[in-house]
Amino acid sequence: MEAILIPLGNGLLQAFEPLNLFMIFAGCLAGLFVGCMPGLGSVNGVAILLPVTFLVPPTAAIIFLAALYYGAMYGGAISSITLGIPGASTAVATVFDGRPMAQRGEADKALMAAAIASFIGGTVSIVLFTLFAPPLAAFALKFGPQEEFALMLLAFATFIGLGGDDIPKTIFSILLGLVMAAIGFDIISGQPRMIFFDMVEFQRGIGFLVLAIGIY
Amino acid sequence: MTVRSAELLMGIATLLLSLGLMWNVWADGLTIGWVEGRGPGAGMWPFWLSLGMALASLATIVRWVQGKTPESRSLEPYIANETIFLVVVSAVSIFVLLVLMNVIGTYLSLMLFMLFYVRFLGKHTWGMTMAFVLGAPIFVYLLFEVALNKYLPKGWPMFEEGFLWLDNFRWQYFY
Repeated sequence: MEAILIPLGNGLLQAFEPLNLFMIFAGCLAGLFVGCMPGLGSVNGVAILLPVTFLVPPTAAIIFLAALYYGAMYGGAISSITLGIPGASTAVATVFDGRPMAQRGEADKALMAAAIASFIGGTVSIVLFTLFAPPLAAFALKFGPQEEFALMLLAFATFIGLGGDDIPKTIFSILLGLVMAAIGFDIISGQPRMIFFDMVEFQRGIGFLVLAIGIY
Repeated sequence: MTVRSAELLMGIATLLLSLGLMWNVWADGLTIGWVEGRGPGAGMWPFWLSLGMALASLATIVRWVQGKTPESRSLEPYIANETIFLVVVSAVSIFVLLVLMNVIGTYLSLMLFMLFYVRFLGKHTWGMTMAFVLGAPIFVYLLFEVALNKYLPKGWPMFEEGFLWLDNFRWQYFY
């Protein structure tokens, strides 16, 4: 337990330094703006503002990016409630309850409820994650190829279960995603496959950051 | 276009896409089967997964013919006309912005885009238009070039030299 609490205490002391407090404020403010915009999401905002690490010490930069992520989580609720357009993909569910409340004139209650829910959810999840991270990491390191295959199978079965009545379309989406992952060089034989129009950029495959910014 | 015809068109388009992917794998000459002692051939995953995609598209078309999904029976318009206009105009203007970024530079094309979007599409006042036309390039410059130290495309050398004057000024007097 001491192995967790002592570094946590050190980190908390660092968080109260003036520069880091300002980074928290600036990060949350930027995150609110980023989350509010329907085109930008939390992953987008962090990816675009990563070069902040050049300007400030690394601790302050990580604090800024984390505060941006948290701010974007709540900022999505603002445009969901007031405009009915989800600001981030995490705020889609807020539209269902928040928009009717705003149309009845109770937008302030909806925004406050979203803020308090974000706060409680974030705090509880951080505490649980900090406590359970070391045993979870030790367990995850034991995952082999069979377990990863089982995870993938569980994910695809969940998609089909949640896909509703239109199963062929869900299967098509799953297979399209798998085929897009096959673009690039084959791991086993090293042959290039599906390099469209001989563009060199396809040889690396479709990057995760590109997908995260484009889709989320 | 009704929702019904859009569903059929999408089914046919996905079928053609899947068949195209299968043909692409076959035309590249990749091994489609299992290589003895080594594992799956290079073309196995793309080919057989694309075959699955083709079968799923065929199933969608068959279900459309049978009328099983609600989309295959609905006769509502697929997209409203004003939505199509807005989407097409926005997409074309952003594409022109991207092309112009490599010709006249990021900031000039951003100013033209703001002028078109805020004044001609959004029909706002000239005051608000000028605020965006001047404010957006300044904000982008301060955020990306000064703060994050990223060099944005400046277009052809003729236009790039004009901006290099600004960069020289900044580096000479501020650092």
